[in-house]
Amino acid sequence: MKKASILLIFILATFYLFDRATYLFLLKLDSSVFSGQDVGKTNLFFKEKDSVNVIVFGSSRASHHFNNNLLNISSFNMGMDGRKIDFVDALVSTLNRQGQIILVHVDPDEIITKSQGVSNSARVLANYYLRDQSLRSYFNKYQFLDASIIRFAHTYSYNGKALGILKNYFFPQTKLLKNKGYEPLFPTETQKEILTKQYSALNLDTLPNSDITLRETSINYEEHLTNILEKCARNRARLIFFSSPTLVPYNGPSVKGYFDNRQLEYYDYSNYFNYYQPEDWKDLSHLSSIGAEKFSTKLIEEIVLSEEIKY
Amino acid sequence: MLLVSSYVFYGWWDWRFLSLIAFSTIIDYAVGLRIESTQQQFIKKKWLYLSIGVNLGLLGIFKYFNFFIDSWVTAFSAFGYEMSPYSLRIILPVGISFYTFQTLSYSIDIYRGKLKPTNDFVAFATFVSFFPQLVAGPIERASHLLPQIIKKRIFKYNDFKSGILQIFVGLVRKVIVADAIGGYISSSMSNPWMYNGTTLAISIALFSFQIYCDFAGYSDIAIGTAKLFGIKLNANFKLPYFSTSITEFWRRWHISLSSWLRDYLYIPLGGNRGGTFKLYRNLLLTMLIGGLWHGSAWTFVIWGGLHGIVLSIEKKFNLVHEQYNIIKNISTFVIVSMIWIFFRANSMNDALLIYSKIIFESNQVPFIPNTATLAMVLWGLVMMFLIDSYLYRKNINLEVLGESLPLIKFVTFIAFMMVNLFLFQSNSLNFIYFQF
Repeated sequence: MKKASILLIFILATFYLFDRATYLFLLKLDSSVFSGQDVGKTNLFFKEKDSVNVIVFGSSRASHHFNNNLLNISSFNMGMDGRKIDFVDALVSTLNRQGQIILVHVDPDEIITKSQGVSNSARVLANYYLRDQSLRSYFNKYQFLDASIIRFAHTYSYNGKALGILKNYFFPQTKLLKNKGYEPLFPTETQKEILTKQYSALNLDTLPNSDITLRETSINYEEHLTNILEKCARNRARLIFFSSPTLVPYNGPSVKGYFDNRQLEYYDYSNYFNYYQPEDWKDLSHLSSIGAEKFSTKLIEEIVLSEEIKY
Repeated sequence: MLLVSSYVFYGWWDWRFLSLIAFSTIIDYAVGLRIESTQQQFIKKKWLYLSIGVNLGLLGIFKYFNFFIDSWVTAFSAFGYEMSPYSLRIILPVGISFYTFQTLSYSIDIYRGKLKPTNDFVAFATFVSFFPQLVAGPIERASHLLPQIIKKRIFKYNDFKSGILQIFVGLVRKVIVADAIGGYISSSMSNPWMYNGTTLAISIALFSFQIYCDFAGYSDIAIGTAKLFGIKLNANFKLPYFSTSITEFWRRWHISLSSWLRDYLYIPLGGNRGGTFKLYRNLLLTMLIGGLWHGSAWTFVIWGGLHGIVLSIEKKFNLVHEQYNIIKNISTFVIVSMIWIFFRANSMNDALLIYSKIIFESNQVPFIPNTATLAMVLWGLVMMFLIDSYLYRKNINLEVLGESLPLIKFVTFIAFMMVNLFLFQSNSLNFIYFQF
């Protein structure tokens, strides 16, 4: 038993050394990575966030659909795959600049209590847990992360990120920086083929009824929304919500009602494309660069973001 | 203590099914004593039939009821009779296929005079419900496990060392390799109509590794955990993908099930005796039932049947050679992977669609859904390959690797695996074999 206990201590001590060495190594690489969907984009955001006038937040539908390069003032698109309102809340909490314009992409499904549990998509920011005070406070408040595990094993903050960091460190790309975070999609022939099959198999009659009423909205969404509103009020930021086009329809007007009731600026473009044109799409819920260009142009034209933003 | 832990462990999932495992335990405990106490052969047989009836009856109700009802309705519909399918949609209790086979072997071994029944009910109940291997094996024989439970166990440093190592290797297999692959191929395997043949061929090759790492990973964690309690379970996998024939594959894959089927089905059916026809009949029947054991669907039966056919061909043309040959190794892997299609497909139609696409559409560019996940899958496969090829070259089992490694190497290896687990663990998926 004594021998086994010594062995365990020896294992833990070796693990501690390996863990901290690996963490420091990844941290070193991480700080110079500015390409890639995950770590690189977050690093770019932290670099740009307090210098730009407009920031776009949301899921992949924000990053692929809104071409912020069409704006003539400085901007950054911080949309990221699979991210939800908690992620937006976490990042908005780090903003310091006054008077920014914050565009938040809304996926209406997110607002419905029945279809959504508590969102913890902000976990993707785990590599900032040990080095950013405001994010640490945010994570500790919402307990999205197994913070105790990260304190024990620092490498856990890089869970799922290590290979991406290595790839983007040794083979950096400038697309993200050049496009200010916007990530246009150029579908391959295989993807086009898959989309055609998906679209022809799409049975609109069997789609879930997303009948959103005020009583059914997600408490989780409400809480994060309140945080965002408070932070934007403190920063005197203008907050604009919008929904982008999709081939999988949902009940737009009631989503609009949700934001109208709170006197929030909301633009619904979910049904913007009246008929299906394959070149506009990458898949059922993502626009191709061609579709994104059309949508962004229209959105900027129609909403006229503010006096100083000219198309 | 082990018994209480085992029941708490099982009850955590669904306490109602504790009564099922308790019922099976009481019946087989009583049957064992009855068989031993009577001298008359036909009464012994009656008791044995009771045990077989109860165990297979439970399995039949909880695992195959819906399957038989659905098959019955489908068969009648084919002849133009419309039947309303009445199905109870019974929940499958986790691990039932494993512990019923374990208790069955106990009664059969006593009937055959190979085993003396135990008077120690607590020990027997622990044997049936021993928590590390309760839900997904290895399927243990009473002759191997019961004496270890009954005798006083002492803590052994070497068991501890090898147990720890095996648990970590199991975790690496499961949470780094199997779960990453599971996430990567789930869409193509669930919606094969959307993807081309190349994508499906890659997916099915990856599935071969997923199921291996998922199931072998569970067995490693179970065997390693048991060692920490001073109990040695039998090895369940011996590097199956290094096999050079399907016959060898079955000597290395899910060993506890294949040896169970050999001893309690294939040999009682006549085994190799009784002429060529009977030999192939027995082989095919054993594999068909083996397939059905895995799941209550025709796809599993066909999966077992195809293995039976290939085993028969190998036997007929004497294609089994012990010497390693890379061409034969790759051919065996391709055959095994192609047969896995029936195992993985959600339906017979999906399976046939996957085959046709792989055959006719395999010259197209594969679809890569997520490069980051693919990179993690490849990293996991490299790690698994390095571990398995080391074991193969050294000709040792994972069960004894921990004991054989010098201290520095051992500690470094464990620490390396721990860091990898924290860096690469995927969103956890249930063990595939939990559904069996």
